[in-house]
Amino acid sequence: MVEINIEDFKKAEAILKDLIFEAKFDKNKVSHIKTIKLLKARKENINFEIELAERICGDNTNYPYRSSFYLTKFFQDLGFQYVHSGETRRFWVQNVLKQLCIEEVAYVIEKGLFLKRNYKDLQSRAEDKKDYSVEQFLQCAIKDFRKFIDESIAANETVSLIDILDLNLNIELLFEHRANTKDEELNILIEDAKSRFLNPKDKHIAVEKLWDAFERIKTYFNSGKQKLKSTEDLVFLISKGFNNDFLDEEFRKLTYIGNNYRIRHHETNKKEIKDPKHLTYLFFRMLCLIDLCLVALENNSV
Amino acid sequence: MKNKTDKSFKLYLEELHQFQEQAKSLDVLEFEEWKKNLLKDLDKNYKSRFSNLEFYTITEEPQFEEGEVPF
Repeated sequence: MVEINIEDFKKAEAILKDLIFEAKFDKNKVSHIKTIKLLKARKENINFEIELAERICGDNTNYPYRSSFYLTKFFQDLGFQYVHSGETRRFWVQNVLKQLCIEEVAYVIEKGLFLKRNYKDLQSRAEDKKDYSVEQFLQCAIKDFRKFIDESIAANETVSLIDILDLNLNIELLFEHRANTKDEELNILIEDAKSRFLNPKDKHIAVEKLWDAFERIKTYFNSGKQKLKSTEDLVFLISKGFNNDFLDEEFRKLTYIGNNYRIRHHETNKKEIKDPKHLTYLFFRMLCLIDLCLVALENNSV
Repeated sequence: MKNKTDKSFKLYLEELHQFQEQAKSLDVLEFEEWKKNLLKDLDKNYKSRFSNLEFYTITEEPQFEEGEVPF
């Protein structure tokens, strides 16, 4: 003997209606745009109905609490003839929601869950929100609901391993590239700066060391020459196939910063860099330039 | 969704209603074949929603010996 399960037939009907809605979606219709966002949340979040049910029941305290009687009334006022009869409230609501197509769910949310008059009795539920107006309670619920939808849509997104490990490939590569010039003191200054930078408290020292390395690398071709000539030779070397003026300008700018901010000189007339984000910016700007020099020097020595 | 039009899903919906109307005389084999075809047309999100549904249960009818009176 076959006994059919009417509720699951209704759930299948809801799924097919969602598919029909998705297939005939018209991006020029406002009602379609808001409903498709809801459908996206339903598709991506396997717990969509139970999480929405917790909001309708008021198990989530941003929303009005609904007892068995009021849950039945909630759906019947919206034209759905479901009757709650003792089941666990949220599971019952979840089961009802699964039987509704996305356009009906949108209707339940808009005309039921966010019915303004239901938010006037919320003061008694939230100790910390006793002075809130109806409008403020409503805003709290709206904020929570937006978060719920956004998180539902993103539920199946994956996170790159780079983000999980908090890595930035370019930064990793810069740190990976060890200074290996014939000037051992220069190598030590660069590596010391990098290792200092990894300790947030030592960022300023790291910047200072890196600027010392910069002044040192400018004298790389110093054998008997003036510092300026050595710098010109280095800029010429790193500019091959690129723009000499651009890199010459970069050398001058970073030299100016080193001389006028409290990096290498600590006179009272030097400007202090207080914000760590600016130290980070300067560190990487300088490290990029030094790294370019190291690569050019390595290639030049081959 | 695998490039299906709303028309093809409307047809599935009509057929679902017809199966539902069969009620106790649901043709299980035909229904399962219909379900198999539908699942092929669904993407993974819809498929997982659909796969959890239990549309019917089959109960064994009591067997009686010849001459035995059921009570």
